Amino acid sequence: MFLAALTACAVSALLVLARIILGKTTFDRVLAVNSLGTIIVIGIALHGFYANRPEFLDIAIVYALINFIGTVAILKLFSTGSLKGNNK
Amino acid sequence: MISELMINAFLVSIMLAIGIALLKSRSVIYTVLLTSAYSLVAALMFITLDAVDVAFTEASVGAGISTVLFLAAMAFLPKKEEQTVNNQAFPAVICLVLGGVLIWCSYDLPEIGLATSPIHQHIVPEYILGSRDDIGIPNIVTSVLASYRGYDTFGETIVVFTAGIAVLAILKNNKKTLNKIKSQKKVVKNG
Amino acid sequence: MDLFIDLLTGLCFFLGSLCIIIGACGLIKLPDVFSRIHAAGMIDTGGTAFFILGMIIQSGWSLITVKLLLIGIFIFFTSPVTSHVTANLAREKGIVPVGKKIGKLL
Repeated sequence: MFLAALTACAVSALLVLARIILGKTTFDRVLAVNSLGTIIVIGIALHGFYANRPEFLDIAIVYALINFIGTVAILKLFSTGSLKGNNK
Repeated sequence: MISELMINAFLVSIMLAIGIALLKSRSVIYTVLLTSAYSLVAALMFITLDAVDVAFTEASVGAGISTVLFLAAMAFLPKKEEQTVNNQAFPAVICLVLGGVLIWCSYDLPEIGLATSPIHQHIVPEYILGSRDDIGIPNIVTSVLASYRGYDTFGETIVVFTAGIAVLAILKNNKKTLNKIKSQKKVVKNG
Repeated sequence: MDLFIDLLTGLCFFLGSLCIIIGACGLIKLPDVFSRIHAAGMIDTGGTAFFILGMIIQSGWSLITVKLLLIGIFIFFTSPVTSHVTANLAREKGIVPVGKKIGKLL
């Protein structure tokens, strides 16, 4: 059961990766990287259950937060040209 | 067993695809994005290899802090990388030969997790036997890091701290100095 | 009872897999950024919600449940923010949605 779910994650990760590589604009790529992060968070949790060691969920928590920070930082750089405060 | 192999093979092929895309990319933001995606996949790889602590470090440092640091540094750079016109055949040959030698050498390595491999025979049994009586810390990893290799860890911490201070000093936004330089240039131009 | 729990988990995983595969296909298939945000939202909300629900059912009441709920809450709050920022910026940078004329936008 967990293996089937992991397979579904793998298939969608491949499709999202294709969007990252093909993507026309930066926004497509940012969106796709964010989705890849979400899929990998699910994958980490599922792999923990699949290997009978669900204690590793802490990493998934860290990931869910780090992914958000990275995405917002990239978008901020893209909008204002620097990472300083709100100098629009 | 075969499913573990398949998961690992899938993750490695995804990482290879991201690497090839990284080679092709010429936009700075795209490169940073791909690096972030690469370390996302790498951490999942570390988890399947049962290296949870490495995966934790990769998650927080590789995907998080280094992305933000790259971005902070690249805010000072032009948005597009210049196309290189040099001949790249020679570096490619060197990389292929070096990679081939490394792969060839890896066949002499002992199997992963084998108890009789040399690295587990030298001083590790001494640590495992002595850690409770010598140090008094129940966790072996902690006692090795903080006591047996205490000076080593101390030096590492100093190096990381120095690197952090240096990065802050470089990236600090010194507007006053910049304005001073600009005004000096103006004076030179006008006078 | 075990069979019932397994069945429920399997159902949740099936729905979650459906959600993320539909979302990933949408990311490939849809024409521009603004419509792709819907597909990404499908992965972020439907996918994670069903998978986490399935894992909660499987794990029972323990510390693991709390961690899973934390993951769910984080993604639940961060995903709309990311989508909103992306759409806003794309609009600001002058990307025109497919099927709209430039003059008629807003």
